[in-house]
Amino acid sequence: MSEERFEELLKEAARQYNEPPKVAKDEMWHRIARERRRDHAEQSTSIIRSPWLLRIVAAAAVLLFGIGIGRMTLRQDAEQEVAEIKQDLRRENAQMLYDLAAAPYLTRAETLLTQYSASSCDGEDRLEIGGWAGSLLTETRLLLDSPAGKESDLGFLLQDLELVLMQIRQSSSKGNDEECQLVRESMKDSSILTRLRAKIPAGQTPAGV
Amino acid sequence: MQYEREFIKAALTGDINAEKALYDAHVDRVYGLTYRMCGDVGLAEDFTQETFLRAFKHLPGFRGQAAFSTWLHSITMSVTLNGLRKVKRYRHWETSNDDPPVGTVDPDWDLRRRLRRAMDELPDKLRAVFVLYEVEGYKHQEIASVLDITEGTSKARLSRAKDKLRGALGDSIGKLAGKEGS
Repeated sequence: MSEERFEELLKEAARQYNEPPKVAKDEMWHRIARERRRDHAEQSTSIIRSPWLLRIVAAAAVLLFGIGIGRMTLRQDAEQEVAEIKQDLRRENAQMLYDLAAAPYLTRAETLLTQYSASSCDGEDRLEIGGWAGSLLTETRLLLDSPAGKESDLGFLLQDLELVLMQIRQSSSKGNDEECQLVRESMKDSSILTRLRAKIPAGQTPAGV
Repeated sequence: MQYEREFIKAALTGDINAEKALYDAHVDRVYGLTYRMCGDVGLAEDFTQETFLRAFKHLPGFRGQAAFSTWLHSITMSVTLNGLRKVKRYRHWETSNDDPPVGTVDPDWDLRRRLRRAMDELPDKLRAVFVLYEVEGYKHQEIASVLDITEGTSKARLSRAKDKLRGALGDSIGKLAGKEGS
């Protein structure tokens, strides 16, 4: 009997035990909804932040970067190549013009030296040869001072030729036989005529020969 | 039930309106359970919210083997018991209720007071079974699912809970019996 009464009391107490008050449903839901929206937002950003996706994006970025650099380098290379070609062409053109300009000069110089070698030192034509040598000296200086002349393989020849021409002009004005012989020896030592003839383009006929 | 399945499917796609529908359908029961367990409005609200947040988050793990309510209440009890362990501010029988109502003569008032205190002082595991069985009307099979224990353990815990409550009343039961008999 007492057990039954106890059970009765227990059930009654259980019914009244921590009886819940009115539920604040809306307030609780607002907080839940806020958290859920944040969860959804984080889920969508976490996809972006996921390591595998980041790796793919990074790889793609590296690839694009590489392609960009490659294209830029190619363009730079091409531009550089074009610039070099242009420069080479300019240089070649200048050289060609220089050689064209130098050819008649070399022919005249060769004629002068041939004539000087063949004539006697006390000949009547020494003054004429001296004047001729003076005019060639001016041309020699112009060719030596030309920018194209610096790159030309005529440089040493022109320098030797300038020296010989100066000697010829001096010896001609003095009429000294000894000096005339010295010039001829100098011409022989420097093989100036042989070198000069080697530089004269084919088909150019020396004047007076 | 059919609607509930539809809501669950929709909630799985991130439909917040479906989540709201599930919330509306179950919040009273969930809140009731948490409040019965902790006796504190603030804690009960916190536990209720945590329960739904966890449920929605882990909804893809709900296989539909048990009823949604059983699955939800197992989360409720897990959240509540863990929460109570953490907060350590579990409220005992409120002192205002210790005094008998003015003008009322209730011979069993003292017994009821002692019984309620004894319920508050039950270990959480025993109180959980007691609340679910005696207060919420669960069967042992359901309690076993909700608390992830065996049916036998549920019965044993209920029995131990009642023994403790009986012990708290002490010889009052005998007096009660005498009073009943006279």
